Amino acid sequence: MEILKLIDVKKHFGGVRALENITTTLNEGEIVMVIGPNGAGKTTLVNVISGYVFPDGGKIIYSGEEITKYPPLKRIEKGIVRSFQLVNIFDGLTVYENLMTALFSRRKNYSKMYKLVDDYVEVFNEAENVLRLFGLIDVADKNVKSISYGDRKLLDIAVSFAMNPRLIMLDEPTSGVATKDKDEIMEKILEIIRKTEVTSIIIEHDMDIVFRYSERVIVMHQGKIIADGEAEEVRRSEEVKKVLLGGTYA
Amino acid sequence: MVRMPGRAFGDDIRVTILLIIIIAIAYPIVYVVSPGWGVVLGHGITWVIALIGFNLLFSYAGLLSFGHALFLGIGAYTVGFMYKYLAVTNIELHLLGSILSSAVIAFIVGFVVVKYTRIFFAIFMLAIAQIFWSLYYKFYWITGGTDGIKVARFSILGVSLENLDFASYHHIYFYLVTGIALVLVYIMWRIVNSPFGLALKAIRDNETRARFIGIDVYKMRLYAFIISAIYASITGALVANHHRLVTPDIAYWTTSGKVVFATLLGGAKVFIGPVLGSFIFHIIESFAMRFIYWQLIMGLLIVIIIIVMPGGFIQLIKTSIERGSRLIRR
Amino acid sequence: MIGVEEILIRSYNIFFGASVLFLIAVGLNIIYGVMKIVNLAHPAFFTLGCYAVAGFGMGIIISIFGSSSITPILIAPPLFAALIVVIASLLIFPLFLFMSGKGDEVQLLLTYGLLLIFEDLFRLIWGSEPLRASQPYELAGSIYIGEYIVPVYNIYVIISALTVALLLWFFLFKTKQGVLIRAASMDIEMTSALGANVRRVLLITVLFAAFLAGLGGGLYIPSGSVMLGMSVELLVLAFVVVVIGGLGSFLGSLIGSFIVSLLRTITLIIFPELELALIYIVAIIILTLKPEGLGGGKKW
Repeated sequence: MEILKLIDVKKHFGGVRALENITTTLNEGEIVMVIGPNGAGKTTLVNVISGYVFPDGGKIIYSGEEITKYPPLKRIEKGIVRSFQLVNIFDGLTVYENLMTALFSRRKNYSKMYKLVDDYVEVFNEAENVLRLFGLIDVADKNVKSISYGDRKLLDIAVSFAMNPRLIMLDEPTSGVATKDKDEIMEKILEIIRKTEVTSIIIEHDMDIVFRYSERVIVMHQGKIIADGEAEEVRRSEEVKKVLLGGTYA
Repeated sequence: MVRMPGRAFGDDIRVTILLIIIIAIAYPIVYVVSPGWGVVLGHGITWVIALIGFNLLFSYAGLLSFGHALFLGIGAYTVGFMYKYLAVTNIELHLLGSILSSAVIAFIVGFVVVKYTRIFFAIFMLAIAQIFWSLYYKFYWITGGTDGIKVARFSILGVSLENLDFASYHHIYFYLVTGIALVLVYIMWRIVNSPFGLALKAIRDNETRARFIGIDVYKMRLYAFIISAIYASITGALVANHHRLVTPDIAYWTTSGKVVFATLLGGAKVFIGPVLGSFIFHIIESFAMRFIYWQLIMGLLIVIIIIVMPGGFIQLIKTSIERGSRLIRR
Repeated sequence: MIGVEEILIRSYNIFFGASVLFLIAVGLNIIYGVMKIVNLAHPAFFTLGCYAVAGFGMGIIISIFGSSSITPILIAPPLFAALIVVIASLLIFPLFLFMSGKGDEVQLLLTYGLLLIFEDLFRLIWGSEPLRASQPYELAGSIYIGEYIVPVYNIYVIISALTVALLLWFFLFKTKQGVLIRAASMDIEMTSALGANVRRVLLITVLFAAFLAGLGGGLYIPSGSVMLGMSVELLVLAFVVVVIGGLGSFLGSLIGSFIVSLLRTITLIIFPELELALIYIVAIIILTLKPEGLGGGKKW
């Protein structure tokens, strides 16, 4: 069943064409990896779907509803959640506090002033479960600034998952992590995605990771989608090879 | 099962309440030795409320305001007007009036200003506070201008305190304010440790991310702003009753500076900081008042604290304890 | 009906006010624009300039040049003021170094502390009474426009401010150093990668801003007086200028100064008590409609 449909979405920044004629469909439960050289428009795509920016043209349809002009808050309520490329969490809080914030927000409890955080035992238990799932339970009490980069990345993703997404968008979840840990992180993420059956868009730069773990791959270049299909066929496409090898990527 | 982490002593409500109670017990002794110092303690306990409110905005919501005097002034002038035009001396009505007036004005001002942060917020609050100050100053036929409004002794539960000697009057004032402070401090502690407090901290740390996990940043900030304003206004109302004179000075930018300074002095990063800061500040002020360039000292101390000791007195205490325990271990 | 003369008089007042505000605001914008430092104490430089001249500068100048040689009396005070302020800024330069790169909070708090220090220093050195230094003003005399008396001195101020603005514009947009400074304002890391010494850029920026503020103070004081509390009043006005014009924008300093001065003049006629409030209401409206300010600066 279709969950997300983009029709002819465009986005310009001054003279730069970040997105051009983006038309594609996602079905529920699909896991899509988006790849492409720097400046291809991958992050802009996620920005437009999440409401961080609004497109200059085209439509975004989510579960049959047109959400093109919806503010981010509204989209989050509908289950569209994203993480950011650079680790974007709450530096002054501990690991589990980060998670609790997301959980309270999901339950729309975050403005409550009359009970202490300590009193919300079920929230705490759920936070515990999520941390266990992501392998972060040992650092739960630690301030976020003092844990490893890989753990911080995982926390970032865990916070996104805590929002109970129906569509989750992860922007380079393994970037900045040591190569030996990348597989671990990706496997963990995919395990959780499959378990929760959430539709996912994952922007990834590491080609090994992409071709090892993906089912469907979308290749972007200069704001356009130039390939979309199973990893194997995409990999064999001449145009894709030219773009990926000729283009610059970090 | 992960244990719920305990709170550091600076954030423990029991330590804070203990501090206030210790001071409350020491007060009569201090007063007997020197009434002047007793009055200083009276200042200290009065300002605890405003400082705790300020710190909600500053350390928990991440909004630095250089215009906190605005709400102190509103509280004070509410009392002034209530006395001058309505002949009201009931402290309960004074407090109620100042809570209402500050809530309304905080809503209006906050509505506009809470959209912005950091530099804009800080200076804008300074500007608004100055605007109000200039209004108190210029509309002298209403506010009494620089002469101010003289306020009679307040009455408690309808009972007039006019006929008491000054000492008894001050004792009643002190313990009344201590009671109010204890309640308000406890409420603030609960607020700060509630989901709301957590959301505020998240907003402070990462506004974008907070927004992207579904938190209404604007609304949360507005709530914090209003709460902080109410606290400041209560102190303003109490100050009006303590000094029994309401002048534009309470709304001047240097009063805002005092609020910021006292909070930093105690240590803004922990809950107990502003409480400690209020007392330390007023003790220092008492000494320094004789040296009339007090502002100069305050300014210098602010600069020094920022550079050398950003965690304030609490940081000093913590490092001393750490060094002390290291010495003991040897 | 408002005659041409009346418009001329009003405009002349507006331009005078704008000139003074411009000289303060542009320094504020330069320091923020280039070094991302917000200096709340910047208006205190202006006030220091006023005090330097009114406190002792004018006396020295007159004893050197005599009290009737008009050219030195017009030119010396602003330069003297600028010199004193530049020296002062050098003395506190280490603080700027400390603040560079630190968060807004640190800068705001530290410069707020500076403001307190300056205000009390002024009181310590020069007392609480307002000071004047009106010799240049009186010497310049006045001319008649229709039935209105117009002081010549203020015209001199306007011309000076325009000259400064032009020179500044030329420097920032047409010289290599200036382009470097503008580049630095956009990306200080990139610029240091290109070899510019960040420390030196900071020093030049601070000195420059101090110079302009001091100059402004020295220019202004003959036409009025200097008193305690002026720095904060000016800060509040300079802030509106920057909000309306856009933070970090040179063009914004011009536009903002003009608009604020215009608003002040208008409200002083209609509603003197609400002068500041009205200006701020307008500022908020502009901010809501165009958050980067009319000259295009950073978004708040």
